[in-house]
Amino acid sequence: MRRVLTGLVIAGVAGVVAALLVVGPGPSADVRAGQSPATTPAAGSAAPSPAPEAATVPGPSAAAPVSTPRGERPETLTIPAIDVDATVTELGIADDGTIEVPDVPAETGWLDTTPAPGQQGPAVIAGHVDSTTGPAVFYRLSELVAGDEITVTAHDGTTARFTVDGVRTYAQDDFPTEEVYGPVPGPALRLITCGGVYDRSAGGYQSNVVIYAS
Amino acid sequence: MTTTSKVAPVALRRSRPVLLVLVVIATLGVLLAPGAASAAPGEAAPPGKAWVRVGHFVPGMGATRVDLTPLSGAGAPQSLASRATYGQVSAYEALAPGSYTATVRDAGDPADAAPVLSRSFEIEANDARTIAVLGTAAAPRLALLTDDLTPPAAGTARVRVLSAAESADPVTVSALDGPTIAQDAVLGQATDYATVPAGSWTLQLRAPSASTTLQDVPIASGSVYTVVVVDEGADSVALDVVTDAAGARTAPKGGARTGLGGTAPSDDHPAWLVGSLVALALASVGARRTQRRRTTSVRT
Repeated sequence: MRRVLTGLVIAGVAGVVAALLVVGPGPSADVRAGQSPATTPAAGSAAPSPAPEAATVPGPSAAAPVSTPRGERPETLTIPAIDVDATVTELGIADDGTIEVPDVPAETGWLDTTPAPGQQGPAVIAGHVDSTTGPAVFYRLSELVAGDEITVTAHDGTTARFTVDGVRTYAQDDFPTEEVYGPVPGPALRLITCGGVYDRSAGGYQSNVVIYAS
Repeated sequence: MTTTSKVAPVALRRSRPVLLVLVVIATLGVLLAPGAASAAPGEAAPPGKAWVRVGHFVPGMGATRVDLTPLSGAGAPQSLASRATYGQVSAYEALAPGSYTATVRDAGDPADAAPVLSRSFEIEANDARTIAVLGTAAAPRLALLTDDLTPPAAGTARVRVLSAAESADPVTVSALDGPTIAQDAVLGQATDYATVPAGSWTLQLRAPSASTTLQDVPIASGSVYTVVVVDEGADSVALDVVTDAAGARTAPKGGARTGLGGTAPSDDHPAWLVGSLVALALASVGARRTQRRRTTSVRT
């Protein structure tokens, strides 16, 4: 009887440990890939007023302007508090809908669907926390605290200065798209890198560190 | 269920090894917790500033100065606009969230003159307000418009109308061959935001006494706008588009894969640590078991 009970206890401990190890790293990368965007594409006209204009197909006279002039695009990023002085490349949105990431671990990248740094709205710059062999440009990003200064210089030489409002860490499969990419009344900056648990079997880092600055 | 009821009384009698096991489990839990916590969604609101701007929407009213004083008393008054004239909307100022008093004076009056209008308000981080001087020159009033920063649906913008034209009242504003933005908007009131597909639009105003159009108005996906209707001369009106807030034209899905693992431990909770704790648990239980065996054999 005693042996059976002792065995049960041992099995119980092993079970708990095993469960923690299996469950610990969190959901798989597939969940992240399946995350829906903030909203579904324009569901009809959605105009709140009555009297829809029938017959004609609604539409603007031209496509929306989509390109930021080269001179206004960012070229370098400086964060004295963590010794960052880095090149800013340009990123788009990949075929799977996620943000592209810089090819070079020492470089950062500005998402070209966001406003240029210094313009009204949230400019988003992403950088790696590490390469396959060691630290990368945003390795110390999570050390930033409110009040730290960030400077972004554009190709035309103009600089935009920001101060850190705060730092947040989010699970990648619960990333707050609206808060990071949504409308902002004035110039704002968001720096993104990886953090949290590194789980090779689930696609790598499970979290993102986001710096909010304005 | 049955297992639980059987084990419980035994655990009470033979408390020591069970206690040790519980301690080990608890220790494991504490060690594992930080990793789990850092991966948890950030539930707190994102950090940010409070955004405030000034708009002069009173036809016939002279240039005004608008100052802001923190209600806490600690801060000095801050000038939001030293000389705002009819139809002007200032850029946003980023402020610390909190309570403020806005005062409106004639631009020519000294700073300590009694204000023409004043009003206190509270604003939180990531909120935006327009301190709007509205109405008529005979009866101006100070309103705090909420500039809604809710992200528009993909591919669209949100647009509202603020009518400040005495010569045309009420007004209906629409995007030509597109949605109606506001119908019968009255003087001195901001309408609700309407959804407008992104693109370059011609805006059209119709009123009982006037009409006008504004061509090639860029409406960007993910942004928020106010169309201001102002008097232009005695009996014509003009449209002016101000950007309340800009967002990403297209937002990516989910987070960013910005790490390749070169500095990551092999796991968040190192294998050696977990392994040694398990070994410790097994060893201690094993030792107890051996002890009891010996006792048993002596008895036999």
